[in-house]
Amino acid sequence: MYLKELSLNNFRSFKSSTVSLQPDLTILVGENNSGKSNAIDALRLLTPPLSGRREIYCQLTDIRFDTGTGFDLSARYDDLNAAQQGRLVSACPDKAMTDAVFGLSYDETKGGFPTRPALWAGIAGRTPESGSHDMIRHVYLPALRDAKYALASGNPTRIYALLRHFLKDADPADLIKALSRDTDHEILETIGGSVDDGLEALTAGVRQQTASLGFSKDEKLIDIARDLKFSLADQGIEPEDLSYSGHGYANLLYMATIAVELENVSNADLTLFLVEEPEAHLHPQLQAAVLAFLKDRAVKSRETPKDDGSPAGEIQVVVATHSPNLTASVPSKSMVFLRAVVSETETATPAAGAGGEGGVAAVEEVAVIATEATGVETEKAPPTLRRETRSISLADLLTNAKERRKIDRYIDVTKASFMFGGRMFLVEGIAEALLLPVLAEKIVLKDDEAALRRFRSTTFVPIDGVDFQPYVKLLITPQNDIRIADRVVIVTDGDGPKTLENGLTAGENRKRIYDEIAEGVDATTICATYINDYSLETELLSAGNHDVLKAAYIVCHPQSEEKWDNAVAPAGDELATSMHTLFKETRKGDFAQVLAELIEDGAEFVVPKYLSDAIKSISA
Amino acid sequence: MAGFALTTEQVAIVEHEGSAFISACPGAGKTRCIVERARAVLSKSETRHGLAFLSFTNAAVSELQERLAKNRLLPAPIFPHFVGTFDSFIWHYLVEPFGLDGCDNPLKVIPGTGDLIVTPFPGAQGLRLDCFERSTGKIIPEEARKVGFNRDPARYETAAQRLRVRLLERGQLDFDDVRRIANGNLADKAFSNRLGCILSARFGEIIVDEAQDCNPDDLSIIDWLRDTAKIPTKVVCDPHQSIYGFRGGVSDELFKYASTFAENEQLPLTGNFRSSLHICKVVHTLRAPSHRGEEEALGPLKDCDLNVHVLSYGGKGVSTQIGTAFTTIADKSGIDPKDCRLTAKTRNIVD
Repeated sequence: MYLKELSLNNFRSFKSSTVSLQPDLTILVGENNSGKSNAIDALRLLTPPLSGRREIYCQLTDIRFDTGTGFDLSARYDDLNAAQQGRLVSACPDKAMTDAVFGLSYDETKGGFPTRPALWAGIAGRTPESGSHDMIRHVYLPALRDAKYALASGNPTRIYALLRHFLKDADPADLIKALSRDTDHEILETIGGSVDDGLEALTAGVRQQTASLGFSKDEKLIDIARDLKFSLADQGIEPEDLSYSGHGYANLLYMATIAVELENVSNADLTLFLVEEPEAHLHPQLQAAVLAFLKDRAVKSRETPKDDGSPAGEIQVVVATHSPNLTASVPSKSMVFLRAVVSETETATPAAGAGGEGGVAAVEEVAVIATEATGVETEKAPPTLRRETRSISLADLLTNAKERRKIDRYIDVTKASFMFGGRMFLVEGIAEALLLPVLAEKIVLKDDEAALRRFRSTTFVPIDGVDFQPYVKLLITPQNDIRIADRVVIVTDGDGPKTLENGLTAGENRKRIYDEIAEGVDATTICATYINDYSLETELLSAGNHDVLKAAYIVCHPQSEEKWDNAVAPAGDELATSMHTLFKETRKGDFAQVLAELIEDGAEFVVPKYLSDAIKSISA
Repeated sequence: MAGFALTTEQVAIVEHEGSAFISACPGAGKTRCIVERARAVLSKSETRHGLAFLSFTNAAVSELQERLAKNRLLPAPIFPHFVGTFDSFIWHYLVEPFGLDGCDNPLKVIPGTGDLIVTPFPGAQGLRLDCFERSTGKIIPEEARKVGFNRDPARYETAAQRLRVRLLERGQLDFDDVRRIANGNLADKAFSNRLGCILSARFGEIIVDEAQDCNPDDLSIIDWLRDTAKIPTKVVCDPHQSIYGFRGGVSDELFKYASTFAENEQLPLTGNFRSSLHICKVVHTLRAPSHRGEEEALGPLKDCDLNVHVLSYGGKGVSTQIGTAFTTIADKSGIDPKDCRLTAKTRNIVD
């Protein structure tokens, strides 16, 4: 069993949205304020905590921007075995009995005071069978973790929870007795005696008191927890006090103590492990280790299905992250992309017949009513612009398995930043990747600070000869009316003069394909392809940069001046061929480095049109 | 009762795996048996299925809940087990989760729909919805007579039908609707198989108490649980104690149903822990020969030698002489009239 869909209506940044999740592990990625934490919090509200200690409650401020009187959340669970279907029969949404749905309605006008949420099962308004809702729980790992503080001596909460967890129902008395400290020492008696002298003098006239110094006679488990401390060190080395450890490892220790709670999962059918920013304080390698740990827990929990009807004890992990490292380490089908878009919302009006929710459609309705009813006294406020979270499930977007596998192989940490960037500049190779920023800063966008800022936030991805049609499709195909990328610009070589069967050069053909892809998903305004006729070096030369290029070439090959002069002598197609031969023995990246340096030092340079067009396009 | 060791018959039931028909005489310790069976099942650590305890009155359900709670046998909440009335079980597991075609709202049981008033036009004499046949919508002549209604019922019948349709559209059901929908659901073979599968994955055993209060309809549902859903079902009843005539509880049907259980599944309880030997003998004599079982007095009062007196009276009413004779007999046996219990058909008689 797993949580397949989370639906949110009028909840914080969500207007009306459904987020699809994967059975083992789902990564929610998105820039700041995209709504990731809201989705996680929705899951914390919909399910009881595994430990029984509730830490989050529904609040009036959870209602989206004060529109309407309440919000609705619901979770649809799929893949139930027969015993689960039996236990969750009250959560059946229909006669098929395959899914279970649990929901929560919070309505200011209906929940009493203070407003309390109404839990429902199956369909809105139906009471769940008592106890059934507890079969699905969650464990939450918050984002801001001062692990050293949380695990420090004097802060007993985590350690107390661990003690309780392992004691289970046993009486802690034996443990307390075993761990309690001896109060016998003459120095304590001496102190007691001395203090007593003064105390007797002070209290004898009224009500005589005596005092003694020692450890608590009546220690409870929490007192023991307060005195226990975690130590941490490399394996094989004497453990040191946690205060000597850095935040990173302390965080991992903290995570490990939370993970211990997962051992209780066998009492529930499904436990959601909700993790915010596991990368906090962690070095990239450790980030990967954390994710592997989380995924491993999930997979292991499903390994041996229970066929004796007992609670399945399965774990489903949902992670919210900013980290391209984490993103790169999971297959694309585990990713859900969240972004906040701006949409028109009507400001809250008292319930008229217009309905209210529904996004664009509702706004149009309002407009119609306003124009037709001339005698309308109440002025409808002009629709305000508000942001709204929408999601793209990559599993649903990438339905072609072959393409999906290509993307998974292709994505690394750099390319994974597409999930956060917004602007993607796909360039032919390393040479372009090195040169273009310099050309933009020094020449093309020199006087346009705003455009330059946008250019700097762009992610550069060298194509390196790979067919990245799947990658382009991933970036611009819409789902729920949003796309992953804001802008995609592709710069590629013409590769002339050779032509293919259809009469186009390889470059022209690639452009045709990419343009078709963009047209197919109605993305021509945000996705453009720029090509040259032959190759980068040839175009740079033809643009009129002979001297600079020669200088750069000589730096790379000090003995080859004549070779250069001969190669650049011809024109047109012949020039392309001779340049091609010339650069066969030159590392393009090295050449580009040198050239970039010369340009940065102030050399005169003319930027070929296709490159300046591309630069302006990506920074639009 | 709790102090007694279980009899052989009771042990047989507590240890029996699978379905059984348990015919119990009065005072046989049925509830104790059920509680011990629960203990036997729940103490086995491999048991992960729920147990369902069904009965027919809220009083019986409370009694069982109390006994199970006192023995600390069920968790709180009792999920995944179930303790409730037969109607409640049907509502929760055969009807409520599956909705009704044509109704988008959650279903609710509204017991009083029969009392809703039908008025086809303002100012008309109102008639209760109960006065109209459920399936045909036609007015029921006796009901009409009771309220002195003798007009043309056509418009009323239409209004009544419309009201029923509206109630269904809103998901407002009464007990009869619930039964009807349950039967309709079970008649759908595919649905019936699916539901049987998940209920048997949920419940390891169902115990139906006071099954003498089942009508044929109820029995067919118990049949479904046992035979289609294949959930071991223990049916516990006292065939001679059926009191709900109005529900159509019929003893013959019950005996016929008993015969559908295999011989090793017939587990009678013949030990009476409540009554004295004399009472047992009298009851035995008063029964029809074909229904005389072996009843053994086993309780603390079994040797009580108070005789059973049968006082007959002619005519329709109970004369005061009966009262006098009763008090005299009680006096002679040293029983304070205050300690005597009287049961009668109407309050008047007792007075």
